[in-house]
Amino acid sequence: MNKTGFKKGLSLVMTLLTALGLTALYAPAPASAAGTAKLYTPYVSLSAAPGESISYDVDLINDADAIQTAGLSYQAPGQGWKTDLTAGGHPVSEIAVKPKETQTVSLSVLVPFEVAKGSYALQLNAGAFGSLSLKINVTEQGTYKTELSAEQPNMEGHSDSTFTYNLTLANRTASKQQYALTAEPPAGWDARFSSGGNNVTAVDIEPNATSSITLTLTPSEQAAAETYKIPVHAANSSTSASVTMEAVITGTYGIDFSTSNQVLSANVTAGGTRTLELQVKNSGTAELTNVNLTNTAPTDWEVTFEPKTIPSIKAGESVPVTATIRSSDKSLSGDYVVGLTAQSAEKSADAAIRMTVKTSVLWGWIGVLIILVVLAGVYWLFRKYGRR
Amino acid sequence: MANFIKKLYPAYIPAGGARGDRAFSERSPSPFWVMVRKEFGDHIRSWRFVILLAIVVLACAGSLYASISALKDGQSANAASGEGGSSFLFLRMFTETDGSLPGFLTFLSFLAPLIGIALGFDSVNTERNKGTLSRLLSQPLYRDDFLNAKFVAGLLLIAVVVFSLGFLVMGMGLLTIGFPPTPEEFWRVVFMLLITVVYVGLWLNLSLLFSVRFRQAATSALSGIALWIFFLVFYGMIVSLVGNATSPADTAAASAVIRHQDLMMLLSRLSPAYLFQEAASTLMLPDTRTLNPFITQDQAYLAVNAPLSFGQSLLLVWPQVVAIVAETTLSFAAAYVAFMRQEIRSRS
Repeated sequence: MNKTGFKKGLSLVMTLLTALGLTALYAPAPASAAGTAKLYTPYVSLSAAPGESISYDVDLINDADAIQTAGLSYQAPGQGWKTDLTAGGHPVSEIAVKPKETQTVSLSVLVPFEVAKGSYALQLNAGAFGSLSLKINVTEQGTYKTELSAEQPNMEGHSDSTFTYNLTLANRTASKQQYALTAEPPAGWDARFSSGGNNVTAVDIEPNATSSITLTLTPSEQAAAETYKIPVHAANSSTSASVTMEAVITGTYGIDFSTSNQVLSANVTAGGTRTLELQVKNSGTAELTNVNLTNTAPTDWEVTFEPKTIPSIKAGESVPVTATIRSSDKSLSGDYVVGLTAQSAEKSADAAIRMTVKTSVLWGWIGVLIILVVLAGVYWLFRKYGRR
Repeated sequence: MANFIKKLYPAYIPAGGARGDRAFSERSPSPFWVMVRKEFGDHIRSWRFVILLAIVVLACAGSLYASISALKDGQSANAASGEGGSSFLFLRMFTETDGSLPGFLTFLSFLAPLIGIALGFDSVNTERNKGTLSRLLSQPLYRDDFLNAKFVAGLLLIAVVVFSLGFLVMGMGLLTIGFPPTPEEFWRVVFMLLITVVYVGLWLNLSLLFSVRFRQAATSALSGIALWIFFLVFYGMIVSLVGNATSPADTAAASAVIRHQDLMMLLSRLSPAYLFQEAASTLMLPDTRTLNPFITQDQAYLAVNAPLSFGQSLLLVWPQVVAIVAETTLSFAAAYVAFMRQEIRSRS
């Protein structure tokens, strides 16, 4: 039923009632007769959930010729049922109605959280107007508790990303509560709660209010690729709530490539070879497969790796590699750059080695030999001519 | 020279007169070193040497001034462009110039041979013409001691001059730029000076040879100077002339061009002056990685522009050094043989 239809129905009933009243008016009846002043509300039986507020508009109808005054009182269904009676925005306890007119009072009832499922009766007494019995069906078992919920409890990311969960903490108790917030992340993880932009460890929440809390999880750098469950608690001495977050770490790929002693320069004689001890390290959290070792070397240089391909490197492990660099015999003396690359499908790393080419000392010694031969020749001349 | 011979006497005529020559000579300086000392002193006191030294010192001071002003300009230009141009600043003092005067090294390679020629061109023939040679050789001393003493005294003097010039430049540079040399730079300079000494020794030996060969001092001096001018001025021209004449066509294969260039380098290196320039400038410019005019693309690929260490620079120019030392020794041997085979008469 739409609203317009509802209103139409209401006005129909009113018209009927007015007609009735008019009939009563013409009938010779005592002014204070019960039939001339009535209480009316359309929904006498309503269903509500615990914590819900129900509002009734109660009409006080005076069909009599005189002003009717009545004290208003009500009988709540039980303890904890917060009931208000207002008219014109103010609490009202007595009301007067002009002849042939109607006044409306508003009766609102807050169904308590702690309530059993069942049917409850609310009695409104209005003196000369009689009394009105209202029925409230509590549809579910009421609670007295705290609720902690997350919009999206499952998140996925790399180990170097942060996980941000939006939590909602609802205080479904009758009193103001202070909650201590705790999370139980795995070792090495960092969990931080924030509310309203500030980092917090506890929040105050009014009864029946909610608070938005942000949980920021920073995984450990070494977090392996798997699903982590992080229980989150909001608790105090009287009430508590828990929810479990899920962080799914997809592994990161990282590769480090360097020499064993981290020295990135070496000497080589022109045309000679130099062996370098290298290490390929998996610095990520996922396994690397098929790591190929390639190089960018000056022309006519040869770089061979042993092994040439590494089938797999587990996270955190490193594999030693021997690179044999043979320089070209036409190389100039001085520095060259030899680029070594460890490349897997996922990630690659470079190591630029500065190779200092040294000229072979052999020709130096031959030069010395030549000088010695010449000096020997001069000595021979001395012997031959000089000292006769 | 008569004075010199008188000085020789005390070494051989003992004051007591009773003891023999041999016994006496064991205690006193040998005649060889007496001659060396005498020769050294004669050189130092001669006007010829003073004039030469003045020319060389002036030239070096001028080149030092030019290089320091060039360095100052270069440094401020480097600072403006944000480059750190301070590498081997000390060595650049020996090579760089602002264009007004040639650098120290160029002056040295040009003028230092003159010292050698001036010290040696009249050493033998003048003594012979004056008759002092035969008088000297009538003394109880080995005949080759005479030539050896001439050579050693000349070389010592050259070493003194070259090293004092080098250290003078270093000291003045230190004073002006206020930048101490690193040990490597120091050893480079020292080795460059050593090579210079040997190179000037070559010219000394050549002029000794001429003085043995030619009776007239003027002829000997002229032939020395002619050779000096030939190698320092004309030889380069001749080589480039030959190079132009034999150069392959523009369309020739790269290998032909390289072969031709190698031939030209070989021709150039026949000149001791060229060898010296290569050796000394490579030592002074650590960035030089090769002496070939051509670097193939293969060699330059992935090469880092970095200076060589002292040892590597030395190895690079070692053939040049060996050649200079060998040429010096051979020219001495030639002078020696020529002198020993000559007949020495009392007065010709």
